[in-house]
Amino acid sequence: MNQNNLEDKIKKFKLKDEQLTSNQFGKTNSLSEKMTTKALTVGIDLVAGVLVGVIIGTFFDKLFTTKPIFLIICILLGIIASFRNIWLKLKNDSANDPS
Amino acid sequence: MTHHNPLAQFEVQTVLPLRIMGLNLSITNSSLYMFSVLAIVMLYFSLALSKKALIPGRIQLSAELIYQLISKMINENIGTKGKKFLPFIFTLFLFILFANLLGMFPYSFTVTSHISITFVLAMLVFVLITVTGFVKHGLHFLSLFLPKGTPWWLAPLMIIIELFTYLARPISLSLRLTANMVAGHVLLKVMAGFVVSLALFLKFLPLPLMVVLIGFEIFVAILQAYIFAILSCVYLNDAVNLH
Repeated sequence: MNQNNLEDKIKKFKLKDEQLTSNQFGKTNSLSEKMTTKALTVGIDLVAGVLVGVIIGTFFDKLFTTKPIFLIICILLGIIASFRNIWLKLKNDSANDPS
Repeated sequence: MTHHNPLAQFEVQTVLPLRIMGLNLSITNSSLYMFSVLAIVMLYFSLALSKKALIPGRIQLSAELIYQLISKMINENIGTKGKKFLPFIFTLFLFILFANLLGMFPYSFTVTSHISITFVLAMLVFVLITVTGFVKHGLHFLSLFLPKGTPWWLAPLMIIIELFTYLARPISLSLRLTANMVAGHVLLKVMAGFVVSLALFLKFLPLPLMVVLIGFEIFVAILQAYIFAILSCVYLNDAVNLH
């Protein structure tokens, strides 16, 4: 009888402990950690896409000597790409969010 | 006058001129600090793992914590298939972390404040991702550039946009680290200049603000190394576990 009681108690505490670590510390921590990482990285993503556009645009313009055309097109594509990058990042986060 | 320039701290200076077969292989302060980072990391780990006690001491515990951090990061982001990339990510993280922290010492040089260095690190990750993708999935890896459920008339545009997104990765990875380090160090220097002139009116009052800022900079130094490592993991995940 006593032994059963003890085992029950141990089980109870283990369950409690697991719940505590998974809910209070594990999940929220990793979620907020992820959000912080994403929030801190979004700004540069905006710049990077445009920069890629500029680099590729100037390269093609030099190749075909069509000065502003490829630059304009590639910058526009770069802007779209950078916004898509950000959107993908945020979409992944909201999909993982349990709330 | 140059000492007051907030950008003077980023100047690369030759310490030991060296020319081998017409190539300029001089030891600069940048490469000297990179060697120092290497030496410090090796010294730290050989010291931490010299005893290998079952109940770890402080230094061994710190080394184990770093290992656990990276191991957990890889497990969460890539899964069990990512185990073989652990040494690479671990090395990358430690190099950036110690380079950033070494740059926090007064009169020292911040290696990661130069885009030539961070871009090489980012390209290393980029090339690894591309090669891994092609080795693991063959030409099927190119399906990364066409998201599922794209209508056929949008496919050509989507491929170009996805290509741009893919190419933006090394640039954003390297630019983020460099921009954060340069901005932080310039801010510290400019603020320090203000502290000197404000001392006339406010006496020692602005000094604690500098301490807070330096603390914040150390936090940024650690955080940026972490972000570089975690983003490398996220990008590697795309190549290892193709959707």
